[in-house]
Amino acid sequence: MTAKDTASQPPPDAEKSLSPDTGHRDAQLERLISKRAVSHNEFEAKTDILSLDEVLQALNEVAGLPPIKALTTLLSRLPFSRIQALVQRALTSRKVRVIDEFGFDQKFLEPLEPIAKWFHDNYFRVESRGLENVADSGRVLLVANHSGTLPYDGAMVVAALRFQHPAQRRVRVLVEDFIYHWPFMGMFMSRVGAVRACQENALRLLENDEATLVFPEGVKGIGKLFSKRYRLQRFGRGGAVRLAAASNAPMVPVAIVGAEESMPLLSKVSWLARPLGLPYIPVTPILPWLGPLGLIPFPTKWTIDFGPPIDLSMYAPGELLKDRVALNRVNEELRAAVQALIDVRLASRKSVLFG
Amino acid sequence: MPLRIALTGCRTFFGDALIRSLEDDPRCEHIVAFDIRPPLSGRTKTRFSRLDLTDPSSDEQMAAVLEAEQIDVLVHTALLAYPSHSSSWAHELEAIGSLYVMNAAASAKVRKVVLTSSTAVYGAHASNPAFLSEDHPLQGVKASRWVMDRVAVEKELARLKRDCPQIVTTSLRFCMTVGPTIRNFYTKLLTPQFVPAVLGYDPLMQYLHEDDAIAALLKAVHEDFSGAYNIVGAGTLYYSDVIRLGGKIGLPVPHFLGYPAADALFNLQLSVVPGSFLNYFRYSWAADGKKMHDKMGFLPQFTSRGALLSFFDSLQRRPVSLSSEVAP
Repeated sequence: MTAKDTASQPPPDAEKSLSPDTGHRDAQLERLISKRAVSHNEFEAKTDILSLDEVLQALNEVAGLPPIKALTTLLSRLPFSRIQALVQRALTSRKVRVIDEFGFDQKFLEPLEPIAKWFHDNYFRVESRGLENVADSGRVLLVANHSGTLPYDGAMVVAALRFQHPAQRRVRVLVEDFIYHWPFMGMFMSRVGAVRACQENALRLLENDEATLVFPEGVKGIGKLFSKRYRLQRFGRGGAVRLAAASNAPMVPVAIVGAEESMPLLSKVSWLARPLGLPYIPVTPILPWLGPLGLIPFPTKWTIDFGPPIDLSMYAPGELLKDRVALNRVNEELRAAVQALIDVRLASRKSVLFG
Repeated sequence: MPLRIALTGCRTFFGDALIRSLEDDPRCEHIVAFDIRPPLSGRTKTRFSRLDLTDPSSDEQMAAVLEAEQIDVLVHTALLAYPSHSSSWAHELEAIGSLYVMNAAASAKVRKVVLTSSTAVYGAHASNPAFLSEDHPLQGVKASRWVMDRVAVEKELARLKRDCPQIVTTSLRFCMTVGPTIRNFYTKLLTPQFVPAVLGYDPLMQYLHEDDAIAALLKAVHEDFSGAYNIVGAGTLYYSDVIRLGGKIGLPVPHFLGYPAADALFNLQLSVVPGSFLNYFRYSWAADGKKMHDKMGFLPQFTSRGALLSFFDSLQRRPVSLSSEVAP
């Protein structure tokens, strides 16, 4: 078909969109435009380096050949032009992650959520009670006990509110500083929405009406030995209460039971941990001995209890921020509330593995 | 009443931009430009006064000029845009030079002193909050002399405020300022095709467009804002996204190799990044623009992303030779 033929026939819609200016009669220009349209199409359609069918087809063809010959045949068939197009596209792409002000990247988290859901539903078989104490929207400060050597408990509270709560709330977790000293860890944590624990950040989160999870025990809680399980450590310096008072957010005590036995901490190596910037190096029944396999927790049965919010109505607004004694008293009340939730749950628990 | 304005460092980007906009501004009566070289863009209003801030008598010379010209506002922009290889000279110019500038301001009784500072003075640390406020201690990074000199400049300004409370002192802490014409440390880092990065760290970065920086500086010159203000573009980007936005290729180096390697290259004068600056690629040091917005009523026109795009587009456009570079 020549250029003249196409000009005389009414072009189909698809072609019209490719070359909007078909009015001219310059054959050379017409050819250039059509050539460009084709190469553009090719670029759009064939940006995968190799489809599975193509790979299988190529493998079938070289199946009978001796290995070296097969390898050279495969190498000679590599689609260099397409690889180049792909690299070019990767380099010229100006797509930027959509993040919030703390660096939370929803697209990064979404593929990870099914993993957390599997652990939540099938591995730890998490049973959550009192979810109605967390409102469907608005700021809320979740105050939980920290345990289990590695912070799987944070992930499970996040999963519980994401998959069990009717409003599918996303929880922002406040994490310890040392995470950010280590390569990849800080990067990973900030992409999944964790935020470094400090008053400024936490206040900002609550002012954005986020559900914010804090572990006031901090490293002392997660790194307590198995012999001290379910005995709450000091609740920091009352930072959680100060946050709730400053942001006027309800404080919901959260008790996590089952995490202590999932990774019993037998001993801690601190002389090696300090130069590495870690708070401690854990020794569990399996951890240093099985290498990375030791990071797998035991499949204990977990329960997460959300208690009723702590009542701060007897204090005038701003009073707690000034009166340090009252602040510490509320902090102790909060600790007692979490401890009470734990004790009730422990008393009714029959088996570590089956609840 | 029209203002009489003096500025130090008239050949710096901010000094030059300030002269250009004040020349056409009816609110400005005349400008005194201090530097070791005459300004590039002054016309009728600008008077040049040669001054070397590394000269120990420069405070006296400067005070005499300030008093003779009856200066109202002193803008201190004589700060280095790059970490210098001769760090002792840089210390004399920035830290000690600022001491002389503040002494001169105190003895000549100017009404206001404005400083073009940087948010780098807060330092990049793992313990930083996501958004640094103006009250955050100016920790800097101890190993980086460039940053510590900037911290010293801020301390000189704070000392002036303490000694002479009647002088309005304004410190504008700009975050990384980029744009089509400004050329500084941060633009130089993002200009080559291969950009340094630290393996496993991806801090949130914050940028400001040069036009917004100049607008904020002019606002601070004409209106009185006492204290420090972070001047930052809206939004933050991961450093990897900054690299992607420019179509650059990041070279991730493990941090334990990065510090000595960067120091070695810097000492051989092969790179502009001293090893101590690598902290700024490891940890976030984004600053909070709330005070700028609420107290100063200033809102940048460009977001961080917009400022970067404007800069990267200018790299695409940049001709082989610029007329100003060709001209004698």
